[in-house]
Amino acid sequence: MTNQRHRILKFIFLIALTLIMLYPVIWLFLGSVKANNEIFAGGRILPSVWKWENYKAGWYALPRFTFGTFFMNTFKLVFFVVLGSIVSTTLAGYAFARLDFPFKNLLFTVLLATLMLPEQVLLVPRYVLFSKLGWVNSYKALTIPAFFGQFSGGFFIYLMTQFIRGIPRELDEAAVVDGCGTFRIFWHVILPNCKPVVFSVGLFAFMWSWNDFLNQLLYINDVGRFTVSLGLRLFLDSAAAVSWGSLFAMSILTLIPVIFVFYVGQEFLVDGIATTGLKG
Amino acid sequence: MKKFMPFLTLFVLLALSVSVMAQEKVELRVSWWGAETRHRATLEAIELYEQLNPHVTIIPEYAGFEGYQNKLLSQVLAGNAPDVFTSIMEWYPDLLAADAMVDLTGMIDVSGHNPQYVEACSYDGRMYGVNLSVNAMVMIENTTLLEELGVEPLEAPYTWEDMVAKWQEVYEKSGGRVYGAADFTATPEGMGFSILGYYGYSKLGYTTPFPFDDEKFTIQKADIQDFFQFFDDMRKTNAVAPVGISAMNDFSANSLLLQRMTAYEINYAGTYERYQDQTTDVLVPKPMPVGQDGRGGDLARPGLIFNVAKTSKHIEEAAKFIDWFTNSPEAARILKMSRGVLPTESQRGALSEADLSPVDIKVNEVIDEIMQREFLLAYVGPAGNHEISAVVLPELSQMVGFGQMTVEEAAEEFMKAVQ
Amino acid sequence: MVNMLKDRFAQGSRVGRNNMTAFLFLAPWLIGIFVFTLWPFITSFTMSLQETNLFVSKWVGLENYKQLLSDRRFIKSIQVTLKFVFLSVPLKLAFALFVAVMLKERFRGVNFFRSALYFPSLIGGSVAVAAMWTQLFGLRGVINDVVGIFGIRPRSWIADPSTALYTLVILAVWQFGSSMVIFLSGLNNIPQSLYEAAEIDGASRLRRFFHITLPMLSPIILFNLVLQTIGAFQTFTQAFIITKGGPLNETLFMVLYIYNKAFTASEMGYASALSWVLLFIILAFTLLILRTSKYWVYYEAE
Repeated sequence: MTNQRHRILKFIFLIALTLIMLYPVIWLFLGSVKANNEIFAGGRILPSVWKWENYKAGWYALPRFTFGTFFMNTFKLVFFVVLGSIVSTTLAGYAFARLDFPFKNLLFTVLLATLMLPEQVLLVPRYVLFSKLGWVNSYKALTIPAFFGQFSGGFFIYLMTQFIRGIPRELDEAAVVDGCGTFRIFWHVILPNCKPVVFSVGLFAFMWSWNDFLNQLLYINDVGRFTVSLGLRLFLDSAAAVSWGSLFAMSILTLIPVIFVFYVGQEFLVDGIATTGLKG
Repeated sequence: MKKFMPFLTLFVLLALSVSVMAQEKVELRVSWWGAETRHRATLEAIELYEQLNPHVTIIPEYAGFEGYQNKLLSQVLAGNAPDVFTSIMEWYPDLLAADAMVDLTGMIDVSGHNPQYVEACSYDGRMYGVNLSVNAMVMIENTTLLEELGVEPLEAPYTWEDMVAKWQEVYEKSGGRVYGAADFTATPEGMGFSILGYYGYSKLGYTTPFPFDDEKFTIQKADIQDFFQFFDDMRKTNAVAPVGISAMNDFSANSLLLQRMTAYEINYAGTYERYQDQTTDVLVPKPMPVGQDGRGGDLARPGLIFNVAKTSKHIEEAAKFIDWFTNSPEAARILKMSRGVLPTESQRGALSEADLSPVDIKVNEVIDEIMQREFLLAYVGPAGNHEISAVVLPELSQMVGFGQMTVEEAAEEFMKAVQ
Repeated sequence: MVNMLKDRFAQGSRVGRNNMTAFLFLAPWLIGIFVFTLWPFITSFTMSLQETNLFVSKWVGLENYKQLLSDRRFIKSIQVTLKFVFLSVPLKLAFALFVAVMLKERFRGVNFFRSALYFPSLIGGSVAVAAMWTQLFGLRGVINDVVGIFGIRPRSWIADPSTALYTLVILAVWQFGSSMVIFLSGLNNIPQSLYEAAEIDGASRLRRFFHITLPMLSPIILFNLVLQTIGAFQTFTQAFIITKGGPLNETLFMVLYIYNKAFTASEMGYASALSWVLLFIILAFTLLILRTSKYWVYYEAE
């Protein structure tokens, strides 16, 4: 009985919470179908005329490329960042969590320290370095570092480490008894149990490179290679008029792939650890 | 003679084809920032230029404003800046220190520009850039709101005292709901410093460079104190809104003018369309106030500048492109007002009213009116002056506004910062 | 390939082999550090010993570091940042944990709620967020409508120095999704059997939370705490696009100040020095958290 009541209360609470949390997003959406002179003028919440054409105007705002190009570009870029991040950080995370090696503490401090210097002062030196490598105006500067654990690597590797430390050691030990080496333990024991964290790393890599702006701006010159994040800024001058409706409309569209990935992928998140035996 | 003709023809043809072949293919990278109207117009102009100059291929590199400066500085440092790039005067100290810009003196026809603008884009007598838009500070007035309140609009020329009186009248007639204007000195990266420059020439009567020349600040403590006092008095009489409201005034989501908290706004003419586009009220741009003997303080401050990178391999072709971009009537007819009022007489003359939107026409009118007054020379200023305008002045003004500092203390702090 | 590598180290002792294998696992990351990260770090450090605008440099030794000791804006920025860290991190983590616990179990609509509550975190730091937040907390925004019901006078929450920072704290808490995701994945690794046993013992919901969930989740809490703290110390975008550090420098975060020094004032050397000081401040806090963690973090595996 109390359980039933508890469940209903929880449900009502969640709906209220969701509404409050989503209010700004709803505001953004309503802005995307308003005329420019209604968005900031205050007063009405709903648009007086629903201007769905803002979506079309935004999509075709530029003469040579549509937002379709920007979406495809972003998918390409993000795919490699996600792949690279997952591979490189899973490996390193396993090492930090399960293996002993010299300078472990020092390296772990280095790992965290790479997160502590503000991006802003690294921007220019890194640009000079990458331009010496000839990586300017390509996705190389944005994707290759991910394969070497340098795209938020400190965050991901630490996340992996912390998660793997939570996997019961008996599983490893059982595998050792079965004659497995370090690599096979990693492949057959650790990886299958890491689905939630691998998904998390993939999700964050997806989301952060999807939203990344300054790095993409620095390394991509050619508008034909622009990402959605750069595409959105094409609406914004320092002084000239801004088509807020189109900008908001495209902002809403750019949210959809990420929320879709999350919605579909959340099953992996709650995939608990297999507590018995060895898979495969 | 007759039998020579074929040879002659052949010779001419040969010479022509050799000269065409000698015109090697040139690729020019041209970069700018802006919103979609400017992107469209510029791309179209570039297409025309490529048709007129088949040996030139232009690689357009355009983006929004955000991050453009960071990118440009990185590119300059790495030696791969675009052949033609866009800048504003605030970046000149850095670009000069980097020796990033080519001296274009004599390479581009600037006879159609206002000479003050040519000099503003130059430094030490070297013309490092070419102005792309004639811009000036304007007083933007919400006519609809004034009508509702029963307040007569300002008629130029009007004095500083007229302005203050009008702003107070707005507050009184509205029963305290509407202020005259925002406190522009308190807005981060806002208009305070530009207004200070205007104030120095117009109200304080400076005839020498103010508040700085190219090497140093010329402003005196009494001047900045007068300026702070002027705004402090307006705060006290509610001519301008209190800092607690003004401090985040911008030209979109938090704009007091758009929210009808104020009836006037001072900003550059280039922003007028942005305001008007975001409200159903009728806004009108007007010239700034005048001081004694009708003195204005309008500066020939370039809105946007085209520069050629020192590292460019095709400096002459880059200069030729800028020459065409800023002088030719056919470019003008494509570009229209996508960068504000066109920089040269020949280009302004090429536009008929039919080419322009009602908003463009209003901007043209007010700039015409201002151009009949005298444009004063704008200076690049000493290194680091951008920090004074964007950070120091609003910070001190806020401190006065929130009662954490007296006007005199703020003036003292300001003088310390500029020294 | 893998076997080949294994054979090469096969003669070594068990521990020795482990060492070498560990470095194989670490290789991509280590190479990345040396190739991509080390050089920018070194450059920024050498710049911190110079007076430089990137193009013209003068060696000044520790002058920049001396100068920042008496820099009133720098001190203000530390205060602001610390206040933000101490407010936003606990609030965000508590909220994220609270929501994660509610959304841990499967029930009708749980996928929707998870996604909907995660939504705000997707928006990141774009211009749309700035416009939205400014409008929301502006004079004519919905917040004023809501507090108006309780008789509170409307004000510009963002322009008022006594409230501006809190609007950014709320923004940070609003974007709690990343922490929630990590908590969710951690919660599902807690063996269900523990809860079942506790339920049989008649432990209340609250008791189960404090005696099972919290201790079992402590490694993940530690992780979130460390990373959110590091992240909060580096807050930049929100202040950059919404408040620009004002009013009265009440939202002048350290990184915003660093950015202003680097790109507005063109004092790249000084900005680099500030960055290194920030690094050591964050490092100190991180090590402090990690030190205390042995008293409250429970590793089942060890």
